[in-house]
Amino acid sequence: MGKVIGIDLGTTNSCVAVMEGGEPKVIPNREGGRTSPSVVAFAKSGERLAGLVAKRQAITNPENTVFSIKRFMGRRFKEVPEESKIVPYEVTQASNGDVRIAILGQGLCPARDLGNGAPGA
Amino acid sequence: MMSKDKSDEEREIEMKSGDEPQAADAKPEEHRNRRHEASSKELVAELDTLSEELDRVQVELEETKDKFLRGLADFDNYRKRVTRERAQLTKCANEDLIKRLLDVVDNIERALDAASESEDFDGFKKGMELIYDHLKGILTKEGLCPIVCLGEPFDPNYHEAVMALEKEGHESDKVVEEVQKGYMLDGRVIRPSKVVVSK
Repeated sequence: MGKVIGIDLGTTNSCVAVMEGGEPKVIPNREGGRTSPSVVAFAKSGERLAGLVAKRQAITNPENTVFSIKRFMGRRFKEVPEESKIVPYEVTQASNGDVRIAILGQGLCPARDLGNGAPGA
Repeated sequence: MMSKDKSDEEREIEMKSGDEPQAADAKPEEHRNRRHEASSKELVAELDTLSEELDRVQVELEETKDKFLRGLADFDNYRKRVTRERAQLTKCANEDLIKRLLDVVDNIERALDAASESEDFDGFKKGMELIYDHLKGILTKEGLCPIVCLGEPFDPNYHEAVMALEKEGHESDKVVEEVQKGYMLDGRVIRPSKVVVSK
């Protein structure tokens, strides 16, 4: 049987667990934490950072550090004028009206491009 | 498979008998009856074998089920034991370290006692330095090592940026100030250095 994996993608922290002998077991991150910050960053070198590491460099790279992305997932640009103002990264609009995050000249989709990076750190 | 072959054969016979002229119709009738008898005997025999097999398979299933449940229970016990043992192990490991730290506590107490009786600040300072070295030695033996960061390029794997400053004469993305020292334990960052980074 394939492994069953569960992800709690939170606005600020995320947690991943795997089923082991009928019970879920949390997978700790590299530093032993059971949750990791839901943060994804794109370094100037183009490197993609996730979790704690992304959070630690947020101050040096605010425009390319994405956090609290859950509030933009599945939303249309017109629905989130308040949220768009309080985050340091640039929130834009796709041709179909969906939210896009402008990072290093690319329009990234909150769910497709940014939702999968956080727990891996 | 067997029964399917049988019915094909029968159909063939029936077709043949249909083709034959009516004059000789007693013969095929008899033939067919005999055929039926034979095939029903075979069917009964087959039913017997099948029900025997079903019994066998059912017993096997029971056995396998039992084995599975026992295995599951075994695993559950094993997991509980490992969890308990690990908790105990952690405690023992802590005990070991705490025992060694008690020496440090003793020395600090002695220093404080001495300080309340004398005003010799230089002596007190020297004592403190010795205690500090002792403590550092214990922690180094445990695998602790400080992260050197001043002047290094900023690396979020080891450093946490608390401020970004515009500093003249500094390249960007360098650590220009250490706010709090970071530490690694056995090659793993247990606390990143809190640093100020140049813009």
